[in-house]
Amino acid sequence: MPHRRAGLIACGAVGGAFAFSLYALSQMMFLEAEQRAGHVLTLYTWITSETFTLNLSILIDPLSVFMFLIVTGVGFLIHVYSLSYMEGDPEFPRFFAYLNLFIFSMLVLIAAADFFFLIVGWALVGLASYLLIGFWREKTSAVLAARKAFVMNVIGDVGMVIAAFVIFSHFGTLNYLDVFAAAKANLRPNDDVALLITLLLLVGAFAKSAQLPLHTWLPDAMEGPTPVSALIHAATMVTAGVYLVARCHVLYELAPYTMYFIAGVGVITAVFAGSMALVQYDIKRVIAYSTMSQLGYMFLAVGIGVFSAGMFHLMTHAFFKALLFLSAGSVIHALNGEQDLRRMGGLRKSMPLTHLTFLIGSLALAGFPLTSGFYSKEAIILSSYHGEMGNIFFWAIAVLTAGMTAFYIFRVYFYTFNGTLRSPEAHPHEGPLALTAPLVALAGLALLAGGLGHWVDEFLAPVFGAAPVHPEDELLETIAVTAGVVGIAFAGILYMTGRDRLEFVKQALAPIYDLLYNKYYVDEIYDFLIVRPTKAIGAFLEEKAERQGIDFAVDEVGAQIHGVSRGIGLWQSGKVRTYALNMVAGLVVILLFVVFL
Amino acid sequence: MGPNFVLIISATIFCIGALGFMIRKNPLIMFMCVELMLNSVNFLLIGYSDFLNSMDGQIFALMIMAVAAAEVVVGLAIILTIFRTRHDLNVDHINVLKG
Amino acid sequence: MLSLIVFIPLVAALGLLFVDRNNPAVARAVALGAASLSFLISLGVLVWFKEADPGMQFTESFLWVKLLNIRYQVGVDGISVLLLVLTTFLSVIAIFFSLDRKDNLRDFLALMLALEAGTLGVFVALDTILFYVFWELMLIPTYFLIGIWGEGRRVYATTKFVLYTLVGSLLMLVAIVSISVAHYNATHELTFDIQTLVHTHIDPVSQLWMFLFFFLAFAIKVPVFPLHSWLPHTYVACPIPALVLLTGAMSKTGAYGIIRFCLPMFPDAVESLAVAIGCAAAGGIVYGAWIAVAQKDLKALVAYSSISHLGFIVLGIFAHNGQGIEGSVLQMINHGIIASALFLIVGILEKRMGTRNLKDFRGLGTAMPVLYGMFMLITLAALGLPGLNGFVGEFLILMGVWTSAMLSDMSTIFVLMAGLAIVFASIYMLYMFQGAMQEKNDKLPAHLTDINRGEFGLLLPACLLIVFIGLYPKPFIDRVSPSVDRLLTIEKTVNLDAGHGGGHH
Repeated sequence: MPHRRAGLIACGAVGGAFAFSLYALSQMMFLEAEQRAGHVLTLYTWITSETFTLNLSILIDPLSVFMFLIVTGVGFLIHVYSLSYMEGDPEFPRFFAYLNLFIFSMLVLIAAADFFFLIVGWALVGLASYLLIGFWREKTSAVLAARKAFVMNVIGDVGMVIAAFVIFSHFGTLNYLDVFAAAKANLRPNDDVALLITLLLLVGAFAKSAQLPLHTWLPDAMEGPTPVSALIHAATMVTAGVYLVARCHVLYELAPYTMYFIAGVGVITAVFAGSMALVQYDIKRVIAYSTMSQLGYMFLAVGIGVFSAGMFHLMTHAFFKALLFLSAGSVIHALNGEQDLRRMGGLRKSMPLTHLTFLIGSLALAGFPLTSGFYSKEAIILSSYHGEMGNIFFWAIAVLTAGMTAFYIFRVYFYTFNGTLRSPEAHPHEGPLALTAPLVALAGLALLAGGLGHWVDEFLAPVFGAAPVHPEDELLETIAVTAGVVGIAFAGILYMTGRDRLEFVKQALAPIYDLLYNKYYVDEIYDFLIVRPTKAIGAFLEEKAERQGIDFAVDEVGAQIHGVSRGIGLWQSGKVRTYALNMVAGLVVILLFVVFL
Repeated sequence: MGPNFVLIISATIFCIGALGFMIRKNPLIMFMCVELMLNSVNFLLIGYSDFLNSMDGQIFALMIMAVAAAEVVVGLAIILTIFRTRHDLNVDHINVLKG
Repeated sequence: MLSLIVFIPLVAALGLLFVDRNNPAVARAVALGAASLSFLISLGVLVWFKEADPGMQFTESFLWVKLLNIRYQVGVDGISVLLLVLTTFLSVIAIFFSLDRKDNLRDFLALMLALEAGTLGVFVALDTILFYVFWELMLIPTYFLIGIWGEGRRVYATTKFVLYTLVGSLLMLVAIVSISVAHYNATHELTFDIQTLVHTHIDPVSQLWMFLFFFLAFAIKVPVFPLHSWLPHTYVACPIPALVLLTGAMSKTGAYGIIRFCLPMFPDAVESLAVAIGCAAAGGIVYGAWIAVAQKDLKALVAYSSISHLGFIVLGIFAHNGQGIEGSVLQMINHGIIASALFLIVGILEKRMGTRNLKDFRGLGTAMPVLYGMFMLITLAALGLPGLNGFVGEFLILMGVWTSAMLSDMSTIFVLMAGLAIVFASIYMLYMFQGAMQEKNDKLPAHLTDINRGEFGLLLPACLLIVFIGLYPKPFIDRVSPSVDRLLTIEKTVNLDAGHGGGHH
């Protein structure tokens, strides 16, 4: 298929999906708030097996429409961006085929009306992610990264499948609505069943959303093309874990222990990933760690029970993180695939538009006042102290992370756009319209979406119950904003000229620096603790259990029978006189037997 | 001449035959030993037939002699063939049928 | 109709012996015609099969040995009808794939047809003696197929396979006779009819050893860990077309036998041994997967992955509830499709590259884009990706195991073990696929071509089925379901009255 047409078909499909999402939204706005939740459309009966009946059906409620809009909207922009970005790639149609597969799978995940099709969508987005990470299949690192992502996601899938079994064996159904109704009616808070289900679901959620300890695949996933990183590994798929917790909020509210756990893991991941982002030199990896960190915020939000704040941050994050990735992609594109910060610099003049959009994205990520990131992050940080389950630790770490966030993103910003270009052979230039138009659109959203906060709260209220009360606390708000500004300022002081003035700090804190630069050695630890023993046991099983154990035992039975036969065969010597002797001896024995016994 | 006499003579001849069969290596001699054993039984049959006043034993003895004659024909033919092919009549060397 | 399906291949196999050895064209035509005809008739059976009827359909019955009341009796129910069609389908594919063999094609095809006939016979037989005859009939062609056309240590492998299975099947014969004797003692009526015998009441102790005799035969055939050690040798030595039938159809006869004999005839024994067998099956699932991770030879890798997947099937059967058994039957179909497709791909790659060692493959995807896509789809199905057929079966099986009353305490552990194996499956399957097809390879042979139209045609049906069953498994489950329900609710008669029959319900 000609490249052009393939791309247009793909974009058209996603654009159409976006249009339908808008239509669904408008239909929903006509309905009274109470009637918005719980519309299930059944397509066909998928399976009937004894007591287990499963329909292929979709659930339309504000939450799913909200997610539809984000996925198809951001997806559409990124599709358009890819038209230009991937131009000239010999496998252009394959790329768009995978990208559309991803959008489809993500919509299945969101629209599913039961846990089974949630899992189907869940695994299919994992597949799409795998395919796209490994899109450049001739690159060994991409192939390995793809495999790592897939295997980690399968671990999550297994957790979710088992969760589905627990749900089925306790509630006799997998339908969201039935399960939630039954759970509300039958389970006490912190019931064992609720804890078990929520924790098992979390395995999937954490694997998909790259939370500790299942996070190592996300930075490696940056091996894929940049639009993929923007769409899948920043804006949509990795937020599926947050969506899952929000979708199952009924179950999670019945399991406060799990909620604490989520919030704890979220906030630790936030600071953990943020600290790693401080020292990386690969522009995409910094943004990837930042994604992990922001996902930590979202988990913090849903963990402390402010679901709509979490979803709001999910939305704004989708905008500004997609923006950052696409701008970074624009930079990488202009520099012919260069991703190392140390070889960039001074792009402000040659790429003014990208500079502007990246700046907007950075400000939003840093939570600078009046950008969208400010509203959503502020809501989470305030709730982390004032919320029902909030406490000072969550708040303190969240603020610390906010400072780090501002620092590392502006470190990237200054490195890239200030100073002078450090790779002389490159001739950076702004991309064509298809490349810049999505940037502008996303920049607008990243800047202005903050005003939607209340609307989101109210729109999602039919799902999550009453719209949450947002605490007002000017002191805390100021501290958080100050943290961000201080972070930006630090970055400015250290990197303003685009040169590394941090050498002396690096020297002084060498052990910590190494620790951060090597990502806390988690990959190495996993390799040592899990990968190697697995391989060793595999080899051991083959060598000892299979060859020298079972197979040997079976062969030995044969060999022994053979040996015994051979021994018996010796009696037949072929010597007639021996036979005669045997006969006589036998006769004597028989006679003795007859006479004496 | 009571039955014991017949029994002892017969058993002695039989043992001579059996031992000869086991000890000697020449198939002709071994063959004669077999005949000896057969005839010891014949002797016993005839002796007892006289002792019991019944003709059965003597008829049996005649039958056995007829069978033995037939057997000798076959056996001697085999021995002759073996000698022709191998030029060796030591039975210990004729062991191709071993397991 | 069923007799036609079984005997067309058998007659064709005998007929092939009268075809001129030097005229492969006729041999091809006869073999392909017979297999296709048999496949078409079996499709007819599938179409006219009444899905709501749990009993045997298309039955044929007449007296075979009057003295012992052994009958030639065949029929299919929901469990066997799918396996029947699977077998005829795979036979067509296997025979297609063997058409370009040079070495004594006629005899090869004749033996393949005989193997098909034996396998089909096992699935339709309703008389224990008839079943046994077909069971042994499968063995003979396999012996020669591997022994003559195999590779590597083929004689060792085939001898091991035959002796192993023979030990099992002879014990089964003892059990077959003794269950009829038990029936005779109860009713004074000699019969070998399976449908009558399932109602026979047997005391628990006899059940135990009869069950073990039957189970041993079936477990070796499946194979269930730790009775699997013939499988890697045999699969590695076996020529690919025969392997398609071996792994796709013949290994299912064991699982089918368990469902048909062990479950309904010996419920007490099943109850007392289910957990132990579950342990073996779950152990096999992990064991096979773990060893597969360490394999370099593609055939061996798929062979060990088969051990793992077949463990799922056995585990599902001993969950002893609707979901578990239905999942198992569906998984038999799925595994038949997936594993045979994988072996075909291995065969295609071996034909082109002259090796099966993963170390020698790399970056074939560039030269073979069509195979790349199909291989990927089949790989994904094999590792149980939701949306494709492998997942449906595994999901149902594990759900059955999780809710199983019979495995009770151990079910959680079994499911966790299976989960571990699923993770391993993703590792070794991707290892195989990526290792062979991806990355860059500058040393690709220049003449390397993509799959031709014939090979495409062989893989296409498998790919379509993989997607179809994954998206819409209901028609399959609906056919299996009634028969499974009946299987689980079979009643036993306690009567000792003479001449009262076995008590049909």
